[in-house]
Amino acid sequence: MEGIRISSIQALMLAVASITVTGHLLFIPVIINHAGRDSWISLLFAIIPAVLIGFVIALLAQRYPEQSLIEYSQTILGKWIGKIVAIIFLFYFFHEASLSLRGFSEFYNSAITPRTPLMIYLVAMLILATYAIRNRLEILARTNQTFLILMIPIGILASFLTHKDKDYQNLLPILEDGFSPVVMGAFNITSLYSSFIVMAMVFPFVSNKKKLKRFSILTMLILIVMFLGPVSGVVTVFGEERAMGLYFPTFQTLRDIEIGALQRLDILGVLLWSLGSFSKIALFFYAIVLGLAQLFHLDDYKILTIPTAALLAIFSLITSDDLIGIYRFLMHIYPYFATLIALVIPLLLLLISQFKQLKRG
Amino acid sequence: MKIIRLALLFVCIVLLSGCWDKKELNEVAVVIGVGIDKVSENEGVYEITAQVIKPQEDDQQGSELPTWSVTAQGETIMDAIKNLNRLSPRRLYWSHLQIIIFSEGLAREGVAPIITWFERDRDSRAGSYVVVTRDSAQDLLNQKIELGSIPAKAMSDLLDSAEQRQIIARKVKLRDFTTVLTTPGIDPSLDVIQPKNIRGEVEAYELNDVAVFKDDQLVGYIGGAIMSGTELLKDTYDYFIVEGVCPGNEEGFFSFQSTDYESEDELTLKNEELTYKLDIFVEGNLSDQTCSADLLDPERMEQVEKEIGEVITSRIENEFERAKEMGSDIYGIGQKLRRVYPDAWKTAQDQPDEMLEKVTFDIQVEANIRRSGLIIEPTQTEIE
Repeated sequence: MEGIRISSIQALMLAVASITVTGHLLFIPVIINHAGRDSWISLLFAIIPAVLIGFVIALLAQRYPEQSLIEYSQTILGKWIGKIVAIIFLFYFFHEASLSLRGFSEFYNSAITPRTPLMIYLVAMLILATYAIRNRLEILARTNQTFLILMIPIGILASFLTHKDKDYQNLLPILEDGFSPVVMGAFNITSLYSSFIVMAMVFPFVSNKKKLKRFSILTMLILIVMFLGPVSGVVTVFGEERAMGLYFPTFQTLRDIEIGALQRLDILGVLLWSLGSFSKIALFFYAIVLGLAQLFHLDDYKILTIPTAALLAIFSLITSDDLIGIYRFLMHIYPYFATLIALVIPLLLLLISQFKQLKRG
Repeated sequence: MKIIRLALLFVCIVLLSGCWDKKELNEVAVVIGVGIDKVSENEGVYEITAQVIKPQEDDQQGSELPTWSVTAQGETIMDAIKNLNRLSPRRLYWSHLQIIIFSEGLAREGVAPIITWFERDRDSRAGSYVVVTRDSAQDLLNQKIELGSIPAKAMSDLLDSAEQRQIIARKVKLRDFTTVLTTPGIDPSLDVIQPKNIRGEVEAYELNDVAVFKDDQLVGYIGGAIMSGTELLKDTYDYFIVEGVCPGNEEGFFSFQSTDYESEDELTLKNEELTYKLDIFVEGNLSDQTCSADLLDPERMEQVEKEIGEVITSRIENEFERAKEMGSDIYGIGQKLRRVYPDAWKTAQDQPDEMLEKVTFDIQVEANIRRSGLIIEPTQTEIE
């Protein structure tokens, strides 16, 4: 597995693509349901934890430059506790991958093609992802780079095209119910951004590690900016009350674009989310198989790809009965679950490693 | 090996193209308009009429409509549509729906139970217009008119090109309608479309009144010139026509054609009194007059401009008054109050009628006549 090198920019792009897409597709309704029209304030509040997440992961990667999350948790916590923590992380990656896999398929199923079985989307996506990661990280990073360069202009275009329908007065009154919904919204955003932890599996392959901290924090700030548009856009177009009742509010705004003959632009959203979901699923899939290989000291992760893909398909089917179940989970359980695993545990790892270093030095 | 791979790729390209969910044009029935009536028979609750485009075999424009209106009843909209599908040999296809018509009887009982399906269904678009008719929606859809062969399309064109014809219409689309319905502190109002008798026969559709809702229930109509108040308040239109009385002792009227219109609003709360302040700027052409005075004389022009301001002011105030009598807040005073004074809204939201009583308008209009068409003085002045 040596010899693979990606640039810091490629790593940054992987993180941006994988977090934005599930965020826009599945998580925006969650944020809006908590923080309502003040979601954009939540987003500003979330800058601090977001930067913290980026900082922690980058600092750990710089401290253990040749080790991944799975390896350095064993270095820090010792062999047995380390292995247990590593398994928790692997479960998190697995769950995250299956959740976005299911979200992607459900999106297709309820918004576009209701008669096509979920399995078709799961399998198509997994075949693509398996193929990509069997060709190693460099390929994934470069594919994602190509996609993201396409996706960002589309996203900006979409935001311009919906401008006509936006009424910024819908954002008033600010802070009607005080700060607690805003803080709750910020907490939800933090939990979403916590999935940045997957980069801890990629950072060992980044060629220049000196700038990792700067790049991680930059990634987090880009993510904040990329969420400001959709979060405020949905509220300004539909009004708070209506926006809360929609499953895919961002998709709905694209559907309703009507500027002369320029209409029915659903395809833009479908394109964005299909490409982005691919990046996210492939990245988390890669993290799982690489982590498993490192945990059990296998020479190559390739042998694990197909069985893991099969497990992912099954798990994403049984994870919930329906889309509503997924929303309830995202709304009430996911924030605590994700923040605990992807923010609190890495923070503890960093503290323990700091403590050890002090003791030694 | 390479050849096998290429062959596999080729097989994939051949097999994977196309969609298994495809809908061929000759297998679907494109629904262009839908009318919903309330029936009081035992069979069902709602009666839905879908207007479907009939594929023409030749270009003959006979006395028949190129559409087919199919009607069925059901306890829910979906149920009625299921029953429609019993009658239609082709699958109904809703993506091109242009207009949704509610009959008065239905609107009086509330429309919220009906629009759910239109929002849930993935084929339907939120861009369809929503209108009300006083009589049966089914009859309106089956009405043959002179200009425009497809009734539903003619009705949506009537709304679509309203501004080009310098007519003020609500032009409420399904999305706006649901947004207003779910937002507290504002009530919807919709256009009313009626068949129009000309020379004893129905020959056209008429955009005549505005249907005022309280929550999702129709409570009354506002007709005449004042029905443009809401749009004048929101400044959605640049082009429209205002009629006024000639200044001085002259007998006759003038028409002013607006070409640019802007309004800025501000709601202030002082000593329990709500003041709705509007700053309106309008400019345009003096297009017509029946009095013989030279209205472009600087002194008279000022009076004409003042008259334009008064007409606009009275339209806005009168429509509000009429809606207030029906207990409906079509201007969204509550919504604005909530935005500016959230605390005052918390107490006011339980008594919307009392809140509306406290509103006074303070409207400043700055009207400017920029041009007067191709002539300086009207012919009648020359004659005198």
